[in-house]
Amino acid sequence: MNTDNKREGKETLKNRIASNNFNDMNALMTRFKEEDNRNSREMKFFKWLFLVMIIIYTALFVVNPDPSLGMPERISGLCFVGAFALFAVFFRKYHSDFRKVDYTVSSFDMLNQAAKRYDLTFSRYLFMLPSILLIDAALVFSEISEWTTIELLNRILYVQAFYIPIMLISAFAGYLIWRKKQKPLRDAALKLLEELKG
Amino acid sequence: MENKEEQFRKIISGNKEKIVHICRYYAPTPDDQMDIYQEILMNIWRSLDSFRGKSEIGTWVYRIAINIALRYAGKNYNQMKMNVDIDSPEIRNTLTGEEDDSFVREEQLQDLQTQLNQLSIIDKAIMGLVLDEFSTREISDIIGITEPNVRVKIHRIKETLRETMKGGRYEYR
Repeated sequence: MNTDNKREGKETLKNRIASNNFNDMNALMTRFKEEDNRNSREMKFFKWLFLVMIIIYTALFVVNPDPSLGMPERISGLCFVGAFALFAVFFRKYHSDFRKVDYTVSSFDMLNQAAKRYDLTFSRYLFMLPSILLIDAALVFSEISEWTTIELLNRILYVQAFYIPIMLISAFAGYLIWRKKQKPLRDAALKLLEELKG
Repeated sequence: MENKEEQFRKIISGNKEKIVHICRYYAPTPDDQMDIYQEILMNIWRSLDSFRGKSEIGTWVYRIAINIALRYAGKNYNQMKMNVDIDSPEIRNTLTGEEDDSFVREEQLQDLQTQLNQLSIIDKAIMGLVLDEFSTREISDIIGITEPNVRVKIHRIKETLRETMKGGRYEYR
């Protein structure tokens, strides 16, 4: 590559900056504000989604005065409501962890945070365990029609036979996604950290 | 008191050349350079509210830019190239030889660029800061390691370059 080519390369980026309206600060800031609004809308959508689910389940299965609605169904509804509330909290935390990555800290701190963020630790997902157990309980209660001991045991086993494999398959799919998308980022961050320490 | 938009405008116009430099150092193609440029600007915008003025604004901007570039390099480790700038005064003072001939200077630059591209990502980042004439204290602030550690690393990198370029057509000073 000769000097002219190098200068040309430098010009190319400057031309692109110009042609993409990056010299027009008003256009640029409009784009950034749109991006901020999009993120905020996304958060609001999920917040409302969980809220609507909580209201629907509370209205239909918890406080519904319908006499045909037995105690098991009402407990099931309550478990679903609890699970949705916990999912909403988990989602909020997860979203803010990944959205608000701080690039203003030093490279060392940024890499440290990235290595932790992309790590697959059991403790991080322990948060989800109460929600998973609540849904399991909700499904069991929704299947119970009579309170006989044999019937109850059968129903519990019947639900577990479906629910546990579904949860295990979901967890395995999550692991595969982590291995493909997040593990390489964690490994790269750890490698750079090692280099910085060395 | 100036609002966020005015502050952003001022920061970008005052640091545009530095940001363009970083994009060119770390990204192999114009498309990638543009991606990094957009992401750096986006993150300066997002982080502006949290800027407390503890560090100098130029260092703060550079810290964001380097972190974005390092994150990018982590994703594209094998493609990462360091494109040094022949116009940089640091580069001109780096190589031995009295030749003013632009062809010879270009050959020297290519040799140096080849050697720089053999360095690890962190060493490239540190050399990028050295070539952009940042002080040891500023490099320590941006990278997050102690000043003595920065000095040791710079010394080691220069030693490596000196060693690898020894006996070649041009030597590293």
